[in-house]
Amino acid sequence: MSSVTKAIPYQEPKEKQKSKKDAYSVVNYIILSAFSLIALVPFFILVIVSLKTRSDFMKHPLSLPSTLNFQNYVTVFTRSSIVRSFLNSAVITAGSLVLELFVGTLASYAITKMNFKRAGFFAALFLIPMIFPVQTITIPVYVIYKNLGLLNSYIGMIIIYAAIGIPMVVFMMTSFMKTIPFQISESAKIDGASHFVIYARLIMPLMKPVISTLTVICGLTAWNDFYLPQIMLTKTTLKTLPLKIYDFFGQYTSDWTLICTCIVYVIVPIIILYCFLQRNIIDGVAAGAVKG
Amino acid sequence: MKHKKIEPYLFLIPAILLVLFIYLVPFIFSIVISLTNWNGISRSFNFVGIKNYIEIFQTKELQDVLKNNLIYFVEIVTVQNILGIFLAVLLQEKFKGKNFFRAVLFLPTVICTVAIGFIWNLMLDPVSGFVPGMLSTLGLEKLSKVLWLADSKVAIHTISLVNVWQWVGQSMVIYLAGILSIDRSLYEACSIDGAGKGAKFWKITLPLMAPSLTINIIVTTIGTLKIYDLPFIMTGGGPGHATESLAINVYTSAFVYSRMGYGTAISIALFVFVLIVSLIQLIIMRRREDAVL
Repeated sequence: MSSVTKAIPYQEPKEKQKSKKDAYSVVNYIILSAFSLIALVPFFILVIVSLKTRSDFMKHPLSLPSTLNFQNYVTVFTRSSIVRSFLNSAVITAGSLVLELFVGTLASYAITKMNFKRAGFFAALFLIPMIFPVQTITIPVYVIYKNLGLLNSYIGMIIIYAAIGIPMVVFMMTSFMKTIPFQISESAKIDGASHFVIYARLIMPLMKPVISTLTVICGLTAWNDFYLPQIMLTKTTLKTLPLKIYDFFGQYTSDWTLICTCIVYVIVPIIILYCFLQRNIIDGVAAGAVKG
Repeated sequence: MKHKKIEPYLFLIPAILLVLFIYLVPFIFSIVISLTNWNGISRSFNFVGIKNYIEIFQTKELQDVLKNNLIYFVEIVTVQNILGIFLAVLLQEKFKGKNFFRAVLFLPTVICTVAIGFIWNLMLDPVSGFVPGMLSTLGLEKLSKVLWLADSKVAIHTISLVNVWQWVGQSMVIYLAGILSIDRSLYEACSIDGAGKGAKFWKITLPLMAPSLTINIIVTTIGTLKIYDLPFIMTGGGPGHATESLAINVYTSAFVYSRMGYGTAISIALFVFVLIVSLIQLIIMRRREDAVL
């Protein structure tokens, strides 16, 4: 009875409801556009400054460039060995991804599919690193690396990022592998397949979505990190991109046009990648946060 | 049969080795270092007991740094989460351009913080910056004269805001996922009962997105306890120690002043803070979630 009496006043002012909804969505658009503008303006300024000559920037810092000037891009490209830094970042990021995904999925397979007594213990063990701030382990790792000759090496960086990524990989992988019915691996087992074959041929192909999520999360961590390279990589030829920007700023403090150009070089590849993969990247980060 | 018992460990060993090598051994090692006066280079050093830890709580410099971390924590966690919820609520319904807005607001989180820090240094530059220029064009002369990064009273709040600018997209996306997992029929039931937007938000959305609130608050809290890149790039911890964080102090103590023992002690204090905060928050949030559901 009460639902009927209440349903009538809800349906009657349909016109009013609609116009109210339109007004609401207009306000919605205005607020979101304002926030988007705030998010984008710094990037516009960055590009504009990179296209100015130094004297133009000194005289009219806030105006649009009087003529489009690409000289800065040539200068930075030839003077800053930015390509080398790009390669360093790429090798370290890709290497750590391969290592942590391989090692982490192997461990996850053992925990979820191999039916042994201490599986729960190991699942917990791999989560422990999550509570350590990277600063707490940096000093001792630095000392150990120094003694092992791993400072200023790709392999040293790859190992440390892989270890940082392991908790996330194991956590997400075990929760996804658990959802795969036991019968699949059991029947393969009966057919005589070894665990490694089941892992490589049966389970891993099913893990593609998780792997792409983890690639995004762990890849961005390694690619954008500044703290560890700053301490572990002091050789100019080994510096990664964030470190390159920092050094470049130290060298050309007074010339914002060159600094901005350097930053544009560093962030454009990520922005291009982001334009193509934004949906996967955003969903990946959200999924990672929810699972973690 | 014996083979079967060993096999799981063959799969586990590489991961165990990584965790041992980078986390467990170094952590034990760092406890040992923190009890010494080692400078990181010489072969000789003395055990000084808990002297380093006592120093942390006695020096004025460290008290300032701890206060800074507290300011970062309070400001960033509140502003970023309120703004994140606000933006997620605006994005919860389907409309044209939704994906565009989501992508734009999330963009700063994928760019490295070093780049973000320098871009904002330029934006806030008193002579050639966009922000002071804009404020002066708008006639806000007094605001346009503010030294956003050089004034020791203002700088820390500026860095908090830039940090929110960079990471609010992440909070927003996590909240959005939380909101979208809420059963739509609840909202329909609510509008049949004549409830408005506000009532829907307070009675349905907010209570039912409690899990994403937990995640977000933990993520932002731990992030602000460890804050390093942004203050290091934008002010180097200055003016004086006005924006210096614990993590910056760990770095300068250990690698600039070569006081490995003292730096390690601070880093262990940082670890304890992170541990305590996450435990407290987990307990509180769990209890609240239980009460709601």
